[in-house]
Amino acid sequence: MYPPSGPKVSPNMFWPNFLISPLKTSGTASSTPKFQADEETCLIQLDNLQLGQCGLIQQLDLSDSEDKRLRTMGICPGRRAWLVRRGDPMILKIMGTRIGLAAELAQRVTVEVCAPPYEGFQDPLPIRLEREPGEPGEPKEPRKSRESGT
Amino acid sequence: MTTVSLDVLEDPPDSGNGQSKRPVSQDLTVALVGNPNCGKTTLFNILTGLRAHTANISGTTIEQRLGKATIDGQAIQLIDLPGMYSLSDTSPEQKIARQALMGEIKNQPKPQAVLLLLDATNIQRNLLLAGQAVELGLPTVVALNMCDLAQRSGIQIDTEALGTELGCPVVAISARTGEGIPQLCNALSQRLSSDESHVMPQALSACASCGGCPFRARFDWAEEVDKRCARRPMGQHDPMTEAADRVLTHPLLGVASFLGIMFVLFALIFSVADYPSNAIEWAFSSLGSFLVNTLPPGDLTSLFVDGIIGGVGGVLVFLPQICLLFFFLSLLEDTGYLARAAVVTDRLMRRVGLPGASFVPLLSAHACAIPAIMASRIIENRRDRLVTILVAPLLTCSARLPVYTMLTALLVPSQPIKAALIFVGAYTLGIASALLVALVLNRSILKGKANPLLIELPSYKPPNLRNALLTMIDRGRVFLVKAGTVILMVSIGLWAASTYPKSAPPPQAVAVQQQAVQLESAGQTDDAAQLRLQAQNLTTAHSLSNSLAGRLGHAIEPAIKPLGYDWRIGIGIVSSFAAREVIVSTLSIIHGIGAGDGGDEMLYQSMRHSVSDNGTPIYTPATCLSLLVFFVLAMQCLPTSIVARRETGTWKWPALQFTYMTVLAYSAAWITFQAATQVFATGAVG
Repeated sequence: MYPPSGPKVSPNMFWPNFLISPLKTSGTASSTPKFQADEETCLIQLDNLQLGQCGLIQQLDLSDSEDKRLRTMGICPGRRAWLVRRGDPMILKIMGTRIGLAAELAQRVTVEVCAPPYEGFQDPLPIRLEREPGEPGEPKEPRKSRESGT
Repeated sequence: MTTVSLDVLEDPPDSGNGQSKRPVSQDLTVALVGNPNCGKTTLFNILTGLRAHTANISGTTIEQRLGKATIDGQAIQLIDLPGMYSLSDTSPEQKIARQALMGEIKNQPKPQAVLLLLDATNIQRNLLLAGQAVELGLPTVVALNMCDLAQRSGIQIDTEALGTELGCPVVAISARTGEGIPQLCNALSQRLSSDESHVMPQALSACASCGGCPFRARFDWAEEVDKRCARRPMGQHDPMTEAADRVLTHPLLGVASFLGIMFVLFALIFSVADYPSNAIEWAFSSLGSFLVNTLPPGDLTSLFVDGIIGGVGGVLVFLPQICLLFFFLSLLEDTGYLARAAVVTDRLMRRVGLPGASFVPLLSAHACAIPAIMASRIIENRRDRLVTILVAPLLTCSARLPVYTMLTALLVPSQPIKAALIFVGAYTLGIASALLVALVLNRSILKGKANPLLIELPSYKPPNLRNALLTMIDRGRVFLVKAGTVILMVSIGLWAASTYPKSAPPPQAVAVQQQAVQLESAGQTDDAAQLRLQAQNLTTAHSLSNSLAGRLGHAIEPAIKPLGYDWRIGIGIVSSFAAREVIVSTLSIIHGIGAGDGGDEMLYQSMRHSVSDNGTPIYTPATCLSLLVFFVLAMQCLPTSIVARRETGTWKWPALQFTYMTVLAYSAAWITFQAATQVFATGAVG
């Protein structure tokens, strides 16, 4: 039911190309000293996302109250976050809204860098990565079967 | 499963005056639930208008708004619960809101129905709360708000499908334009009058019972529902917001625009509030002099004029500033800017252990600490809120300005540049001490650091004038009721303390009076009138210094002697607890210039020439400086304590606030006096 004749926006209309670096570069290049990427799965901390890059949230390593606080706002495993502005606090786009987040919280959130293309960035609503079981990138904790909800 | 009690429902809805017949307890109660920034306040205001008031949820310091609405001729008590993202126990607000919905709050009936508000431009996020609210099992009607904005950005939502998913009727509305409100009322009254029990959708109940992370399951469910019910075009979500945020959240431009916006805001508040404040001042002083001239002189007249009218006037003078402050803050909040302000100030504020959200309350404290403490509710975390409340009275409120004016006039008469420097110094001292105290509090009794920032930045929207006006009226009412009554009582108490016990006119005044009589009989009426006035002023000065307040001033003289103050200043300090600026009028009475009629310059002249009992001048530069420092730091404002008590829920914090500020003010004033005496002594020698 998408408007069939609606304007098709190029994925990079908003962010210049050079800001959206290819996945491989972001996975290996150490643009920030604390950057610790897992080669296999591209698991990084939320604050290490590149501008305009998307991360699938995997794990939160926070105290119980902070954990709940983040989850209520949508920073919850299974959601996707786009980095809109770097810095402390940084601005993320999660589930259609922008969220200002302190770096000290972002450091405790593990995300899996989403594969390009980043068309999801234009669409504020995250498109979940469909993944075959056993494929690299499957999170450590067993995930609930996706189809059960439908 | 709750169904609506039948005796209420079978009551035929008599349109018109049915509302007054029904006892309050039998009113149907409907709770309004929704995310922050989803237009809940706007909808509440449309449904209730002026028939609403703010009250604390009993036993807590969390506010809710209560209002009467008439829906299809049926009187309904509408409860506007605080905006929240979920009903889990993440924050006290959410916990209390859940309890309120379950009817677990004392003295508050369990709501018969829930009016759930969703933001159509962003239903996926809103569905987390929606799912939890529907699960409570209360009859629910969903209002899909901001449909006009959603339509404009090409979002299509199938309300029927959404209704099926949630198991309750969904009505598309726009609270801003009033679109769909009649349909919503219809749906609500239908839901209230049907006794069918609530059917929980299967997917949702599966979601509630599954193990693992409940949030994750809910978000997955929300995503599925969103996929099935909403279609949105590709492309930018909100180009306006993106563009504005590129400037307003920029590390440098953002701070600059924040300072600019705040400057305009406060310039507006001070310049606009000046007119009503002056008008109120003028009205009360003319009413006072009218009463003095018409009523027979005596204690009762004095009580009316000095106690009650002076007290009410003293309260109302602050009202325009407070109202305007909340008016503009509400406008700013509506646009979505305040969340950005919290982001840009967060980094600066966190250095002293305060969150970004405390910046605006602390800035408001430069107008008056009372609205600042009231506005600190926007701070989520209790510890952060307490620190903000505790340091807010250190910032230079406008009640201090008359005192500063008086002291600078004594220190540097007719030297505007030096006077301005002293003002800047006083403001800086206030800000520096507030930040310092915040730091110390973070390291001592309120250990911890500011809650790391996590804030939703809603899309920019045009502000709603109606909301701002209603907020203004509401906050003004809270101020008048909570602070006003206290200020009035304190000023009556101070009036009594400065009037009783009465004393006979001093011999000096009697002599002047006799002289006046002689002159009058000689025909020199002008001179006689002047002498009479002089006699009267001498009498009031004498009776003040012999009254309870005067004796108190004498009694604390040994304590304030090290600061360079004598009993006259002591009386001034005692009397300034109602409001700081009262010290100016008290000192003018003590110095034999009738309050208000002598003009400030006369007071300064008299103060400059006044000498203590042993012949040395009282208002030396050292004393003035020490008094200035004392007024910057001291907590001389009982109404602020009362409001702090209201906001913190206990007397513990206002007591701590009073104690630390008094200790701070006393020691700083002592150091200032000793240092200044040394400096001026060596300066005089050299």
